[in-house]
Amino acid sequence: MPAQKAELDTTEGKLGNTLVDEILAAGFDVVTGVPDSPLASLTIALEKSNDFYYPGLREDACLAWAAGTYMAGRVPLVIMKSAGFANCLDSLTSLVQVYRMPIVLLISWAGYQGRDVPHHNVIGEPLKGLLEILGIPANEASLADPRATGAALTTALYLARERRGTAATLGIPDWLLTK
Amino acid sequence: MRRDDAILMVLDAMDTVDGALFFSNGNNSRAGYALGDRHLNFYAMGSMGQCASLAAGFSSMTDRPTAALDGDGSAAMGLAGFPLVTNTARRPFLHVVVNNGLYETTGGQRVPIPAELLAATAHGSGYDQVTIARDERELSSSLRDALMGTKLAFIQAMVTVDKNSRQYPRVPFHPKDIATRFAAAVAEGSAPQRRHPF
Repeated sequence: MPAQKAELDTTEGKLGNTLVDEILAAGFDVVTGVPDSPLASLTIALEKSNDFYYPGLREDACLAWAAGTYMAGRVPLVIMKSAGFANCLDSLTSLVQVYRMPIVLLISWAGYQGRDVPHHNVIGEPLKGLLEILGIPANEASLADPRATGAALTTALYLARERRGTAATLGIPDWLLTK
Repeated sequence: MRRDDAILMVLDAMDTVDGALFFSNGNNSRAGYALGDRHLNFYAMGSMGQCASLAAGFSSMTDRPTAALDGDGSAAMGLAGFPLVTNTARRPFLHVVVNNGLYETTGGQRVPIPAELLAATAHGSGYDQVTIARDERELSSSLRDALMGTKLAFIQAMVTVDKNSRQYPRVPFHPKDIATRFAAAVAEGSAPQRRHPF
């Protein structure tokens, strides 16, 4: 119904705007990445920002682009879904990690605990283990809670800078948390 | 046109504007280091396909003229990055593809994409100067037009396949040191430091 849709839009809009504020407060000054449905409210809010969000077509290109902004002195955040993480493994390992660039990933965690559809579960279920194998510290937060997500991103940026490498925040979609 | 001559022309062009120059993986990085190492050279020795995106990210946040020196195989692998490059890079930005039609570093296998398709994709992605330079004169003209006209340029330097062309050793720096050196040069606005060890 239109009225419910409007109300939903407003709630979602507030969620996205709050998360943008949290990202800024965490210290990031540029965002790139590829959209995902659990990140929709965020990307809609980001698209309204000026000179802050630069979407790309593939996660590996976005990650390399973010690496370039880091070399220019910026603090980039790269957003993607867990399937997109698989797309960017080479950029991650042979560029960002080996050149010791502190770049944070916000990964929407499709396939969380195997509670999702099969094609998401295959990468999503072992995602945290994959990150660990690659030496990438990761924390978790509910995407429905922008304050918690912001706090997790703050920690991830601290870890990335301390280790001079990648760190990740895994954003759990609300509907998978309660499933 | 020989590969090394094309790379030297790009190095000289970027020197004239104190520009940042990002080299793609494989022989391009090795030749770039051997022919004209400078602190504003960034050798992206892995991440095949992503050199132009990397360079564009840098360009987008600075006023420094920037170029990516790519191969045809790696440029083709990174086609999905083209729109991000054209949407964000600040002019002048040069994406120079040294095109020999081969994956030379891995043994000379054929790259299955013609120069005309790469050019058409670049044009469709929003590069505002797209040229295929078939000799030194055309490459020189293209580089000059791009830098002086502050263009977002996609320039293919069509180079000959020479089985006797010099094979250069790997860049002798750890990647983290390349990044540190480049960042310091950017921060200091340092003068180019060229050397020709070969």
